[in-house]
Amino acid sequence: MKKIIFIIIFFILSSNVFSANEELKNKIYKNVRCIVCQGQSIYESNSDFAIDLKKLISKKLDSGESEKQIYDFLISRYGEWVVFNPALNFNSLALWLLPLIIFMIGGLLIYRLNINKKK
Amino acid sequence: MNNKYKITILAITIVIIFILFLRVLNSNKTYQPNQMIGKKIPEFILEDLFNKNMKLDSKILSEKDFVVLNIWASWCVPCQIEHPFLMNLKNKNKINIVGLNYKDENANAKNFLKKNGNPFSLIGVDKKGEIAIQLGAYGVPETYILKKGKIIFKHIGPLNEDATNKILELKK
Amino acid sequence: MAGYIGNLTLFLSLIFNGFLIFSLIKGIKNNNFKELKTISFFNDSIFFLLLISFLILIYCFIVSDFSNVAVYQNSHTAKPLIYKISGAWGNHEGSMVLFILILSLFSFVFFRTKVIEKLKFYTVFFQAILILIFLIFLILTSNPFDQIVPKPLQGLGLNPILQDPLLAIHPPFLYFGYVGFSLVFSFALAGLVTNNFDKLWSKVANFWIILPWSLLTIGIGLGSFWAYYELGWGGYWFWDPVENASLMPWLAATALVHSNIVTFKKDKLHSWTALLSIFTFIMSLLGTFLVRSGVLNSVHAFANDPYRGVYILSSILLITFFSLAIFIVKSPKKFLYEKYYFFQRDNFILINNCFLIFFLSVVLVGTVYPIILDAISGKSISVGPIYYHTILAPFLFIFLFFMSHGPLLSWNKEDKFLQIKNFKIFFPISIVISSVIIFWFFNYKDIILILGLFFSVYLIISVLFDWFLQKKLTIHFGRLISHLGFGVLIFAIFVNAYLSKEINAAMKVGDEVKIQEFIIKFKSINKIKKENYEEVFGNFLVINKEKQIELTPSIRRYDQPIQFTSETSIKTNFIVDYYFAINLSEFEKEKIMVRFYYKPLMFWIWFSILLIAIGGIYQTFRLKNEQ
Repeated sequence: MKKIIFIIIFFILSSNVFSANEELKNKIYKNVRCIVCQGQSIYESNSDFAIDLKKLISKKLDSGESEKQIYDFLISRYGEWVVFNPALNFNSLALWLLPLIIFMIGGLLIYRLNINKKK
Repeated sequence: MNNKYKITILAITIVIIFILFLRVLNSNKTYQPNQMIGKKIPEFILEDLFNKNMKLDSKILSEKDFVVLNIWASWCVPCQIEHPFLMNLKNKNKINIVGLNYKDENANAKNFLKKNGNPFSLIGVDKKGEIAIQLGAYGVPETYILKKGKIIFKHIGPLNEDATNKILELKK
Repeated sequence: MAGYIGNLTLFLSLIFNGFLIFSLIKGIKNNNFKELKTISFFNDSIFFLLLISFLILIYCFIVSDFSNVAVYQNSHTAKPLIYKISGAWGNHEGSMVLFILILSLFSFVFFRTKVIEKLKFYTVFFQAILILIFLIFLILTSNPFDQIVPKPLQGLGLNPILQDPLLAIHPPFLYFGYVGFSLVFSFALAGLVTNNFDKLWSKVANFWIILPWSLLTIGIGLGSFWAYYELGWGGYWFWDPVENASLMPWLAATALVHSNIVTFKKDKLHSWTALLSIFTFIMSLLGTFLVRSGVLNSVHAFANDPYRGVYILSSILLITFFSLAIFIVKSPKKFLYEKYYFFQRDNFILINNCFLIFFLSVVLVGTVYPIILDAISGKSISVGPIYYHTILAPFLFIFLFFMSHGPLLSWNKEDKFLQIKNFKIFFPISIVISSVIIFWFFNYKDIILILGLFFSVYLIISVLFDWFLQKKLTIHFGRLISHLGFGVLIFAIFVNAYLSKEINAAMKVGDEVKIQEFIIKFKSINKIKKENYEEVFGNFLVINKEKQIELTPSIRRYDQPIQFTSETSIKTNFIVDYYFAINLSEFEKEKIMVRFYYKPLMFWIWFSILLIAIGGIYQTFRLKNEQ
């Protein structure tokens, strides 16, 4: 009985692992730019380059590399441009800060225009 | 602040934006990854196209002073265009060129060299294109100049007059 | 021959535009605004001349007159008639003619509305300047009637991906929206220059803001719908720079729609409304620049020519400089000295504007910053969906909350307790509804998903509550329907983002795969030959529990130019879309790459965008009747 339960649990777990892996693969594919197609991710492209990268990423994932290791590898070869999701660093700082600054200016302005409620 | 100042600031901002976008307009829009320049080549060992006992080994490449590594394939049209330049580099300038045969059929690759001549001292067979990715290439042809295993220069696309001159200059 | 007439009418319209500007300046100098007859004559002539040019261009496309460069480059005799016609605006030159035609059309219609003469004078003047700038641009750098000698026998064809009925109507809607904002821009400058920026200005402007806003909404919706079924990746919004280019004026205009209500109702916020009117059109121009100048690498980008880019850039910056300079000098009452009570309608509209400008700045920075960074430092970074989702989502939730309560506030009385009462009604209802949805349908619970559903349900509840409390529904119908649409849109987007499923497989005829809860059978293939392409259909059967859905995606091979496209097959039951696309496989030659998507609530995304637009269109008609 225990064995059967173990086998069932094993299957559930392994099937989960399988689908999670597929999901992760697609997530990474969608986040990697197909440099030769410009503007598309490798997920959306069937160009040679995209197919090679997909194979390589799939292989690296299966051999146990993490998402971050794979991105790091790709960035070391093709530069930050190859990854769609910009990491938080000096170059992308303005990307996150500028809109927030604008929002804060707006907020302050509204705060100033508001009459003190106690009055 | 009076209006004069405001308009001056506006004008300056506009001029800055103009200059920025002018640079954008004039900049080269095709992306050229150059991350690998200045770095050591990744480790690999590939079988030679003609002789299975010979190996294209990154360690051996790292011992050489000046090597040109050319990624090519028989199915790639620009490779045929650049081939005469490779032949010249080898015959006239006595430069050591090694090839990386990218995702090709061995028979086709051999035929290609038979017809056009063989400029390579060694040819690593990269059936799956994995080593090309390790090198940071994204297509064929690409040419890398290695000095003691370090990539000092890289040319994307078929070689031409300018690129070969640059290579010869680096040789000196 | 037709080309010469086209060229002639184009030049004539330029000359007439010169006359128009000249007589307008004369009128302004003499402070005489009564001489409307000559102005009206020139203004109308320009419109009709441009209309004739445009019709001639369409004619050239219909008869496949390949002596015309634009026709030669974008058309082919073996193309169905509808795509010959739409080819007229499917290219840079033709779409610029449409651009100018719409500038002139708005001027033409505006001239027939009831406005103070002085304002009318100046508005037509600024509009004429815009027409002048773009007409010179058209004639100098992208003349649609340029000839080729000798005449080629056949054209180069239209990109097959653009041969689609939706794409025939999507650009006109976008242009009517984009370019439509020119009128409120000119009208705002006129209001500033003549010191007439007041309640009356805002009453007239309302129509000219909401009309293009509604059209732009439809245009964006159509574009997104096209991307969904044509591109074959199951997505409908890619944060592609060109998509962003249409979103930026939309966001600015949405802010303007709201701030203008405050100007009208409370005679406040003038300078901000004026600034937004200017800014909205500048965003449209920025979009035009990004798409036309070739600074982008995008599916949508037109063929580029650096000379064109420099011209557009300089004219846009000149327009920006002069309009902002006018604003600085003539800006009306300083809104910085105005007072607002927190729980009052006008204050919530300020908050709304603050959020919308934030959203706009996110899209603007995300689109432009990478381009500029690349040009000045040579560093290329990619800004993808994850950036937008991360930075937008938390703000969107708060925005929805304010949006739920804003319309329930009074214009003149501050009543905090009423809102607390409302909150006590909405909060439990939305908690119950959203948790029922989450626990019923979802296997995993993501905090972002929960918040997204909660706040969109909250908005929907508040709109319905508002709806049933209104005594005079006709006045509020436009706003209610648009806000309801927005709530449904956000709800559908979140459900869709978290509940979508996709399956990728390589299959050959006779194969059957079982992945997740779906069984996919590849039954057969068949081929058909059409006028300008060959099409291979794959017949698939998808079994999901008891449901059986037949889908027939295909691959087309176009002849001119030779190109493969993948046509999707989508079946919807209004709750879920079953979406199928196939591709030639390069991994395994004898198999076909199959992509199957399970996309919930897609229908509701399109429907809610339509609701948003309908609200706007209803409002424009109501305003038209009032005037």
